[in-house]
Amino acid sequence: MSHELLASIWYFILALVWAIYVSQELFVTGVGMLSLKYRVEEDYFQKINESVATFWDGIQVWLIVAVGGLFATFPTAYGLTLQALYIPFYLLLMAVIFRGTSIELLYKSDDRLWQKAVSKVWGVSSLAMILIVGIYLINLFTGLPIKDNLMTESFTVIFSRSAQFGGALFVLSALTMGYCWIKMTLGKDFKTPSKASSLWISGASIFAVALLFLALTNKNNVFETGYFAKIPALWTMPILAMLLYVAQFLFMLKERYVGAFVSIILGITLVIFTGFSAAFPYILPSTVAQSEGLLIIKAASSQHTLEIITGVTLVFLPVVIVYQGWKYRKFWRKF
Amino acid sequence: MVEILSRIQFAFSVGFHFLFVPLSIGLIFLVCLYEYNYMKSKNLRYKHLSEFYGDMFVINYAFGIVTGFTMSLQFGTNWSAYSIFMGDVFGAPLVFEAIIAFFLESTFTGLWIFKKNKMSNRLRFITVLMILIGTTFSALWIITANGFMQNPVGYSLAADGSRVVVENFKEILLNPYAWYMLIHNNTACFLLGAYFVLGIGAYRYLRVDKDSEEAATFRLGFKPANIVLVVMSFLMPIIGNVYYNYIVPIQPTKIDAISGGSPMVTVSFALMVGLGTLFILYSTYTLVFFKKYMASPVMQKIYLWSFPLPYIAIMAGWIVAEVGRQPYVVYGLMLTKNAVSNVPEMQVWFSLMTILIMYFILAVACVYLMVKRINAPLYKEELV
Repeated sequence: MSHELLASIWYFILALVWAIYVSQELFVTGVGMLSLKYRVEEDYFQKINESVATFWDGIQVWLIVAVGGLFATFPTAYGLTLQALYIPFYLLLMAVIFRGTSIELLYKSDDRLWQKAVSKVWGVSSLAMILIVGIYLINLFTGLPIKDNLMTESFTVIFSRSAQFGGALFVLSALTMGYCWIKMTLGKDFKTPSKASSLWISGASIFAVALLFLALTNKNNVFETGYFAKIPALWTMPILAMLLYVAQFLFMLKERYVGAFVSIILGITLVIFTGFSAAFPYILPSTVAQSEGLLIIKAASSQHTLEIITGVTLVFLPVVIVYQGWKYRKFWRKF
Repeated sequence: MVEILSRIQFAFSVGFHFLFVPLSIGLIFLVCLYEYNYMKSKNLRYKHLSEFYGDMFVINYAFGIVTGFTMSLQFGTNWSAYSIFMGDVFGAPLVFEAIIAFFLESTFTGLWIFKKNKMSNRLRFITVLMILIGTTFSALWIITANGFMQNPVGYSLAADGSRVVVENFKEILLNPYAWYMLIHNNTACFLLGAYFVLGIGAYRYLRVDKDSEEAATFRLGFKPANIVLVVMSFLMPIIGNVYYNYIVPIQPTKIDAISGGSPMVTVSFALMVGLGTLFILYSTYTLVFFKKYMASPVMQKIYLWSFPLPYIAIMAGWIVAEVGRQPYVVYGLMLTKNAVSNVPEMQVWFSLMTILIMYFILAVACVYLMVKRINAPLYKEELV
């Protein structure tokens, strides 16, 4: 296999890792955000917390694999991206730290004051986390104002129109998925915020995904330069993503929570793959000039290293998927 | 200035991170031991011990994992020149750590925390065993990466000299430097875990009626912990000595630093060796005169009040290893001053201050939770 092909495959493996991570993170942060709105008895609240906390840290490792995988397979992209997005990455770190410790340690003390304070931290950091992840991913697709490997503008440029819609899409999807997760694991009769508000949220995400694609097209022109212009079949991805978002709303209307849950997973996966495909063959596109962007092949590790990483991943990742799958199957409804 | 701030930030965050990691590794080893005894003997006292110390493991683990994020992030944000130069070699062990170790560790820790009372005794043991294996593999991979920074092997320079590339991965994996470090490090972690069990156990034991159920539980737990402590204390100087002799020809500048070239390294080395000797003497004494130790509040209080000592010894050891490596970030290959990112100074101030404030909050929360758990009833009455 040629070096270039192997590097391109790894680029899409990273897209897949992001998709696997985001699919799971959405319901964890969703439940976290919804927890801010709960007015239920204490032991119910604890059940809600435990229903996601059991899975939280296994999920978090997918984020480490996504970021660490970038380091291992595209070290130059890792170095340049993190240097360019210095402040946003520290904000993400803050959210990761507070979300992680709060979700895990909420019930490690019986003190009411501790639990009240920590559950607030849990909710707010969940919101911050999924918002930053969304904004970060959209910026990977649109590119950064990079010239000679350095940012030419302040980091606030990441809050572009596309990123705003992308961030909204992630937050709304998270809320809907969190709602579905509670209904799925704790039963349909479990007290949650009103159904009407969940329908508003679910419906709004249809607009968010449509506006995101519109902004990517009109403001960033991401579909004009890359492969979307050459291969029209790629357009099925964003179109399907939008249809899936319509589907999740219909499922929500019918109270078919598994259907809505799966639709969002597939929908957000297609959004991520649309973005990664649009940026291809750049791993870090530049908005200053196309030639300033960082090419996948330029950023990749040596062929030998990529082969070793491929080997280890092929052996161990299936094992991980098996035992994480076993855990979901065996424990997701066990309280 | 960016370099100095980044150095301070890295040293501080790695030091803080390493307050949690060794205790996690050491405690899970003892929890595993207790859980094994529980599975074999069905003696509930072992279960109570395992859950008491298991809770402390969990608190430490949570802080360990989140502060570990900071570490991997900094390579990109603050040391991007290093990441780009070294990524071909350095990235792979990190991602293997995530795939092979973190997944195992975290998936089963989640189970342990929330579902341990909903599984069979065998599955309980398997769960903690998986966590132990996970933590060990985690140490293996991160030390493989660090071993390369100490003693680069199995690499070549790219044609344009812009980065190192993997030449022979087997050599990197079998780097003797890394294996000495790993064994030295994990032995120290087990030592710390056993010491902690004896110290915290003493605190509880001293306050309860000696005929009570709780006293009997702790007595049951002290013996294995004391044995582990003695074994590890004796292993330390043996491993340390072989390790030292191995370094002599490989890192001459580190040996110079130890023998007076750098006051910080010299003092740290002496502190590590001195404390190690102290551990051997005292742990052997309490084990040989175990009955007397059980009856003597003073002897127990010594474990309680001296429990920071193994932490100090471990920190001193890492100072020798890492400060002793300076001025190189990768020994003989790259200077630390050339590894730094090209970022505005204000941003580094921002991250440094953020980390200081955040870690202060974490430290307060950690102490609060640990004290709370140490003083809480040994076990919760189970609702049937």
